[in-house]
Amino acid sequence: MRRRLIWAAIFVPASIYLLLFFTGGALAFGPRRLDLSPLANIISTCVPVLTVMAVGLGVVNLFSLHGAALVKHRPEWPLSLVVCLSFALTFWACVAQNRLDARRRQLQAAAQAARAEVRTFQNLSDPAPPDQALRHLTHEQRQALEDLQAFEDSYHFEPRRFYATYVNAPLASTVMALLGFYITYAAYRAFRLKSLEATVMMLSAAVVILGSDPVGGALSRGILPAWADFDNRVIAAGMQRGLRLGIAVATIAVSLRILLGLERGIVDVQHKED
Amino acid sequence: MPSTRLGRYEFFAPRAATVLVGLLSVIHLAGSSLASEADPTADAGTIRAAVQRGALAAVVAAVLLGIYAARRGRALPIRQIPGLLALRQAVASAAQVRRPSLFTVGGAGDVTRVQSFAAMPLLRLVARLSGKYQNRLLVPVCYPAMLPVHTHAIRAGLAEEGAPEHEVACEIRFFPGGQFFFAMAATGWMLEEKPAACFYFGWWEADSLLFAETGQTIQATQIAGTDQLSQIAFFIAACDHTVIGEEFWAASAQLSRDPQLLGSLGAQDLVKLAILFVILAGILLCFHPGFAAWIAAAREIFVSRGTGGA
Repeated sequence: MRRRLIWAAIFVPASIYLLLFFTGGALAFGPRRLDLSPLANIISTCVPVLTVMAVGLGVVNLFSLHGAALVKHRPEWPLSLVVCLSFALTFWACVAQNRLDARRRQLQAAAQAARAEVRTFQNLSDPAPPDQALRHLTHEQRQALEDLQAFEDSYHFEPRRFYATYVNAPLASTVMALLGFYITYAAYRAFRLKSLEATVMMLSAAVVILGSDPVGGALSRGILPAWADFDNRVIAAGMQRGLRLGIAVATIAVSLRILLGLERGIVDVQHKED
Repeated sequence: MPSTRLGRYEFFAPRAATVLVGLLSVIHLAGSSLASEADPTADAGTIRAAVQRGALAAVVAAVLLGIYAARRGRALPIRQIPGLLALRQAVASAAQVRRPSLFTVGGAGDVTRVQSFAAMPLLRLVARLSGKYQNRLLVPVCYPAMLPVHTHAIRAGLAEEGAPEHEVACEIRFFPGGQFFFAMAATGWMLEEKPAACFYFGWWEADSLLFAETGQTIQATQIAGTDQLSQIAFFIAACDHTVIGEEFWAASAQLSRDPQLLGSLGAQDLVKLAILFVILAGILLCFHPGFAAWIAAAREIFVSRGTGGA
């Protein structure tokens, strides 16, 4: 029964989206029309609800697991402490940033009316000096503009932005930089003549590298650039298009198999032995 | 005949879907042609969208017919994929040297990627083989939504092998934080545990080489499979076996030898054959002056970037 429910949970929403694609939003039965968009909206609303539920359960699970490890002093309790502290720190950063953002939005909303007033005045008597336009504002409107200016001018520690700019981005860049080293090392290994295929790959790579380089072009009197261009535009492009065609057809087929519950390891409806 | 083990709904679902898709495609194509006749100002985008939907319907119908034919015992023969054959050997070798196996869909393998789901039959097989050889299996996961999917695949594989108690030896670790942080944590785990067999299947992005090079460092047998053209070159350079492009999509059918899945593979090949025929016919028609106007119109519709395309 559970398997059938899972299968139905996949099949029904996917079928609705498939119908939407084919029919353009509505099924027509003579004069009657069955609008499928509300159904699709319900499904798309369910997704964030389920996600939030899953996140909530995850938080409860995280604290019950690591909280128990801390309370019972299990062997790896310091790591549990790190997890809990990291969570608390990140949570605080998000809450503090949200409060700051809310204050900024509030000030901007208040200042918006004053700015509109200034623009209106400037449009009426164009060109009007800014000071003259400001004189027409009420005390509250001027105060709102000043508050926003004061808020923008003063320094506010923004935890989430700080984390993203000074912690997350540099770490990600460091990992990305490692890729340069790895690519060089992999290329070196790929250039070893261990088989016929590797030899062909090495030769074509050498032609493309030298052909794309001005020195290679000058030394070969334009022959290598022409070969490299032919390799890129004809051979590589043909191969890529062939692969893309195969992948596109296979993607449709696998999606269909998942939809019908035939793929093993996902819906798990079959029990045949391999 | 409907098998009692498969259940009645599985028997009727492909037939119902075939009829539904067939009807829809006929209705849609007929509607599109009538609309374009009625409206001579129909732009290239509208025609292109109609043809795209018709082509999709044709592929879907062909695959469903392939499944249907396979159920009747008329599946086409399928060639073996060396990378997938090596998978069983890799797990067995890892068990021999008493080192674990590792399976991951990478830091980009989110639940929204169908490639992540297509990799699950392979995880199921690796789990099954790990249960058979009583060997450890390491599974790093980046996204919370993928955790239960992985757990389910491992449990199903172990249940197939009759070794559900072996689940304690299958470690699924959740490394959140996105692609690169996942890669760092998972490769750190690899360096710590030194798995002898590493499997990378699914949707891969820049972290592919981080995993593959770390696997090289610990001298693991590595098998990778993805349909991401930009990452295939990295996997070819760094892994022992690479399952390229559509071979990855054929993996579950190839490994299970399920006639229905093999039937859909045969249908895919027929569709590709049809595409090849269209391409060849197009090339030949280009040489005939009588079809120059047709070719020019087709180029206008499919090559130029008009508005309204699907």
